[in-house]
Amino acid sequence: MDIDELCSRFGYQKYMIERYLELFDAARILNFLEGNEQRLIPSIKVNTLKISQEDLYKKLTKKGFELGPIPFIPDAFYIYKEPFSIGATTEYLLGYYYIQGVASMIPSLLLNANSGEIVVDMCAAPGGKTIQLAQSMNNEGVLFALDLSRERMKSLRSNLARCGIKNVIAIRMDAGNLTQLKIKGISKILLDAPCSGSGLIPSDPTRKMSRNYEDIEICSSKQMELITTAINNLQNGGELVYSTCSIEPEENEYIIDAAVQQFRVKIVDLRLKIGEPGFTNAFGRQLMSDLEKARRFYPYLHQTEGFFVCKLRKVA
Amino acid sequence: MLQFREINAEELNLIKEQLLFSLKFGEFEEVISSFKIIVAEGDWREILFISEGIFKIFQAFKEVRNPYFMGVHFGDIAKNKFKISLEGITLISEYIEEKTILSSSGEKKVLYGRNLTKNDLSALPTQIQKNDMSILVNNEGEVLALGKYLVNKEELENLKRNQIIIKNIMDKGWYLRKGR
Repeated sequence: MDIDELCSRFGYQKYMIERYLELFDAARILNFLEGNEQRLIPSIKVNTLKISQEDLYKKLTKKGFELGPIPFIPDAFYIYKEPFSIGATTEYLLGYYYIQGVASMIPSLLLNANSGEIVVDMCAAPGGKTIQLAQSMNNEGVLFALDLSRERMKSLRSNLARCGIKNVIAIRMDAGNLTQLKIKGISKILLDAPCSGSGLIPSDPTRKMSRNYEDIEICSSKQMELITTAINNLQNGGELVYSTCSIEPEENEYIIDAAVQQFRVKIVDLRLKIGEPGFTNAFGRQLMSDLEKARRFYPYLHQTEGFFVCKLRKVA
Repeated sequence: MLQFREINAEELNLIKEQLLFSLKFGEFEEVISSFKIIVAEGDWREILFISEGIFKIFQAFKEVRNPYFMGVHFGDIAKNKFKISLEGITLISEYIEEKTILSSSGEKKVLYGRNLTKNDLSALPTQIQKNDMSILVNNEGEVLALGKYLVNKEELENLKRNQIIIKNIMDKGWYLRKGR
């Protein structure tokens, strides 16, 4: 497989193709690159705090939208036909749903937050996953939503208000400083970490050229800081879901591998029927076998953005 | 820098009085029975409804860090006037029987932030006085906006079709226009 030809044909930087050739065998690389060229089917998550899946289906189909269920995600739809933007309906303004990529629906689902718990969403804005967590908690308990960006906090606030979320304390801060808040009894944490975003190439092809290897290193360093903070603040027996929209092992398996070696945490079997197992070996580096329990998603295999998710439990 | 504190009696009375005056809404005590009320004071005062659980945790960390927001934003007090929010309207709407029902054209117009004419209305409250506020819903009873009547009910029949009857005070199209 000629690297220069692949770079030229698909518009990637050379270092990316070289890395992907190491990660995927020659037979898969073309499927992977072609998958990144495909448009993903838009998807929405129903806000069951306000409406049932059935009622929303009726309302939107009456307006000419064509929807279909997402097999492995409850209360969610693929949007096959939009007579007008799915983000401009009365139902959207009433907070009956939010627009979210399919893979992004998975982390909150796996965290399985409950109403009596103290839960933290460490990088919350613009709020899709936070809303999903609030739903899972039946709008009760306490859900911390942290994010550093002033602009994104505005979106978070608007989205939570639109969807009728009541149980959130939103704090504009670097989630790496979570320890400063001295919150006791955190039982669940969602860390959808800031990342290089290489999984988002189908929706944002500029990422083929706008990121370099240093970005992966910078993100990896921040991710390690954040997962360390998350584990330190989690109570014993508590659970952490770590996810990124990156497919780079340095931002995913390497982080989990290091966390499990440094802290008293175990990888939890996700029992997900979809997704590929996490890498146990990447770029010649042997990683722990339990990483098979993590899940990877690719546009060409799962019709989702590229994504990684893993669940950890803190042990005493 | 916002300062967070519990609401005081004066502020509570102001909200009660203005809800009664503008929306003829007298069940405020019932609405707040399951919440603690917090004021976030900056250039104006944001009124936030939070649960007991959030309140307890807030007490524990408030010396370290201020929230950006929490709970439900019920409205704002500025220059000694209370202005209810979109979330506040939604919260009290179930307690208010008489609302203005919009036609489908009215629904579209109001969500674009526009004012409403006679053609945009399907059903009106039994009594309307000029300057009355009314919750505007679609024909499925879903809360869309808050409007202010610009005429008395008896004047309605004689008005021209394109004359503005309801001024749009706030509507849920805001989430798309400004809230993104």
